[in-house]
Amino acid sequence: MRHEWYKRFMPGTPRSPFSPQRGSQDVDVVVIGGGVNGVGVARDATLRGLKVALFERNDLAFGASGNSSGMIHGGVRYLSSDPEVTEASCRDSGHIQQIAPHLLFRIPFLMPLENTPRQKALFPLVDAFFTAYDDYQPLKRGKPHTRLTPEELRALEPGISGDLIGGISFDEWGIDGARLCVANAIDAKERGATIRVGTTVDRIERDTHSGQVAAVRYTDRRTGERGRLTTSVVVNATGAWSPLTTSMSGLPPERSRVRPGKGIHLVYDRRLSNYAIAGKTIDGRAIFIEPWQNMSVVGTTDDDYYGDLDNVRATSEEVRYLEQGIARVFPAVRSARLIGTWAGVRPTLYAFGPNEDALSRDHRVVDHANHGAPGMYSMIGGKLASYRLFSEEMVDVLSGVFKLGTRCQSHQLKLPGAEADVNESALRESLGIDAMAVRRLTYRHGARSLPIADAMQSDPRGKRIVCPCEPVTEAEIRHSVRHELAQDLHGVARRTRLGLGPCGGMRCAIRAGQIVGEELGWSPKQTIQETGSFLEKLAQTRAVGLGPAQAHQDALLMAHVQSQLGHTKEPPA
Amino acid sequence: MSHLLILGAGAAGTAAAYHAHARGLRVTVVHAAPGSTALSSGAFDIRPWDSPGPARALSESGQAFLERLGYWRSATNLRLATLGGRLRPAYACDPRLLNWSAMPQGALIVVPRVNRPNWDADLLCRALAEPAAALGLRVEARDANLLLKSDEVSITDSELAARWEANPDWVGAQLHACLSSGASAGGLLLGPWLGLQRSLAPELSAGLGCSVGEVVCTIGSSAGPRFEAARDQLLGSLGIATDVGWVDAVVREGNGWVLRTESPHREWRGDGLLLACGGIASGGVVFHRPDTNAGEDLPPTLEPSLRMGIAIEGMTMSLDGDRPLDLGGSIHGADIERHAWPQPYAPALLQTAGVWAPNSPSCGEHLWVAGDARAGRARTTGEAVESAIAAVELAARALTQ
Repeated sequence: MRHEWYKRFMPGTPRSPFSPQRGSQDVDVVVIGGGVNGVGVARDATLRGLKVALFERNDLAFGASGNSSGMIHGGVRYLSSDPEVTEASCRDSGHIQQIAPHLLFRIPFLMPLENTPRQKALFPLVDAFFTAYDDYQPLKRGKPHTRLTPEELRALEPGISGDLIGGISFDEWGIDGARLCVANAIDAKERGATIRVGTTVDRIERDTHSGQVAAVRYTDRRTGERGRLTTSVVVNATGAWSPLTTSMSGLPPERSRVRPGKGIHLVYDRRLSNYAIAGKTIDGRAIFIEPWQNMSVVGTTDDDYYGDLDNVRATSEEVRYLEQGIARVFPAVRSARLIGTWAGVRPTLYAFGPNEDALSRDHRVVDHANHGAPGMYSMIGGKLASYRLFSEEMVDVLSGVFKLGTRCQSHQLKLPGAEADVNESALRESLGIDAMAVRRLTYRHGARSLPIADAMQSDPRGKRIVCPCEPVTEAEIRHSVRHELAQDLHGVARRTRLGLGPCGGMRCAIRAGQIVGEELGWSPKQTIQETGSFLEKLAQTRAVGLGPAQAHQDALLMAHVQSQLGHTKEPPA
Repeated sequence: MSHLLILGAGAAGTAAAYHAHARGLRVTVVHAAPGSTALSSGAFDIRPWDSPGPARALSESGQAFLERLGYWRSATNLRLATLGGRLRPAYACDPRLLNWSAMPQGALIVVPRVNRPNWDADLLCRALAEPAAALGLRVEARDANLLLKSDEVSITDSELAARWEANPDWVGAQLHACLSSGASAGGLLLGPWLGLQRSLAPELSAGLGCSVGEVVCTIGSSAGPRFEAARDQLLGSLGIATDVGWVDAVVREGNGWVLRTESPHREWRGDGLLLACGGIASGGVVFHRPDTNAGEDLPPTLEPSLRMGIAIEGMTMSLDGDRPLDLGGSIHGADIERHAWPQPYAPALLQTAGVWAPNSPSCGEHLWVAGDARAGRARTTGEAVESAIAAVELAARALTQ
């Protein structure tokens, strides 16, 4: 009922039967987009026996997937508007715990309620609401909620401020979205898929008579190398870029329309709290501060975005808006050290009218056979938490088209790194490196830490800690280039968090640039340029929220770069 | 005799003390740490080495100071290696640094492998190979055994430099073993380990028959302690009073100034004050977003985003040196992000922010500013020295009238 009007524009079933021959083309499926949905489809389709090639214009997890709140949450926000989204999210959160347990970490939440007549009246409703949410918690091994007094809240999290009537606790799971993307991509690759990062699809060729998808033409954005690959099916999983991608096939962009919603996060230099704390912005939106890996993260905004998707940045206005909201319930955030911002664009289902937060977080597969382009599909909407389910639904459609008869296994087969448990203390002893470095390594790589450890054993250079903030070893940097498709320092940072700590890359960027340059055969000049542009982009994410300590650190960083590299780009003519 | 107080003893403060002494003023220097001067790491520039523009020379007084400091030598066509893989020019440098342009054509420069953070001989050689070839030189990484004790893997560069200074014969023997393990070398490139108080470069070079020298490296390297040693020697030989203390208050008293530390309680009085306390990188100037520590919604006070590290009444600050920073149109302060990173022709605002003193180094009655503390200035040691000399000229005229 709710989505009926929608189906008129984006019907779910094709009008004419489309049954491509397998084997007559270079690949069966071309997936465009290396976000979580794209790599999820590539993995699932490969698991079901299809020949897949994936093209990503920038890098894996470049967009929304790598700039999300880093939660596989149960979608409690959508419980009243989209209960099916909540259920799907919870169920899939459980599946992701099965296939990638090493990537998940528990984030317990506290939601304080202010002592106002309105909140007082709401308290029983909130309690009842979370009682309803408790029904879904077992799906994701979550704990039921608890009703807390103000004293209990303050005992759990002494930094909570304000005149409170109490609050509730509930349970969520955190994840590194970029690692999730990399794990899916690597699994697909190891099972035979082709994954091309930094390669943009310029055109989707279609048969002039049938309109059927025939091939894609692509360009490697680094080398300029061009190519053509014949295929029966194209899956457009490009998130906010979706209309752009659709237009590459000659269809009008509105055939896969999204409502692009920019969301930013603030990153602080340490875990400021043990619990995530829910708060409200000046306009009443729900936001939070969460302990996330070794930092605290505040999120998020949701604003319609019309700018360049390849270059999304937080503004100082957005930073202050979030900080103001969180400071009301957790004032320590004002004096904490902000070390960076993330910005991404959600590919929300299109609707004209509702404000951003009220938009559905559901997802939909669009079959462009209805627009005269059989073989072309677009994945619209979705959430990090339900990526696997969305991918399964997409590949179910392909399974019907190719008459595969194979069942989805993406929720049963483990992702790379989850094959076995790692004995961290044994690993630490055998390597003789810092315990924190081992902990971070095994978090990111799970059982795949062992090949990295082997590389350290055979060449002790690999044990050297290049980025002391995270920390990241030389062996892990080389691994991310050789085996995880990192193409530059940003790619390494996305995979390892190198250079994203308080020093802003001062202690690691030059050396890491030389290591990546050696791996990728960069000239010394290019190495210096790449290092400079990496540091500059990071500096821009920090500049919007500079406080005294980080400003001092950034000035030191500039002096250091000036002394060691000089200007890293040519002066204007 | 008029008494000039100088706050800060980096390159600007030291040059000011030297020149004020020469101009016949009584001088007291109060300082805490060498600040940005330690970041120069032995390379002395007047204009930023990487920015286009005509070459400049130091003034006569600046040149005299440089020589008296006895620590930097002036030379033409200097080429110094950086850890970032550049062979960069410099106006002058610490004689411990290896000058690549003085190497004979075709010479081989050996870089020993030393297991220390920030030292990767193989990566460094790979990065330096191309610029070295442009000078007709070759580079080669070689195994060496240069760490005597296990803790030397992780101690600071300056600590290692002090140990080498105490044990030069052992270092010489190890370097000899390294050099004789392959083709004969014209140069040997090391980290900043060639001594703190004195330079080991001449004796090692003579003993080994090849030029031994260092790379330019910043942050935590030996440059700070070396500069301090050279400075203390210079100021001591001139009999200039120098006190170490984190000044808590700067207060005007009549026509003069008082510097005060709280614990222990100390005071210095003078007829004039010269600020040489550095910019944001040194902590002499602080970028302070007004809504840091704000209340619920708004900042507690309406202050511009810049202030001195030590409160001084009546200072006008500037982000770029072009215009003063006033309250502006936003109570949340200046949008520094509009110039977040240095560009070839434009330094970042974090580098140029400081005291607004547009046309002369005077920023108040009997108050002068030099070095990075002055908005829109410096970024180089040479600029700091020149601006200090200019400020002292004004001070000497004002105080001796």
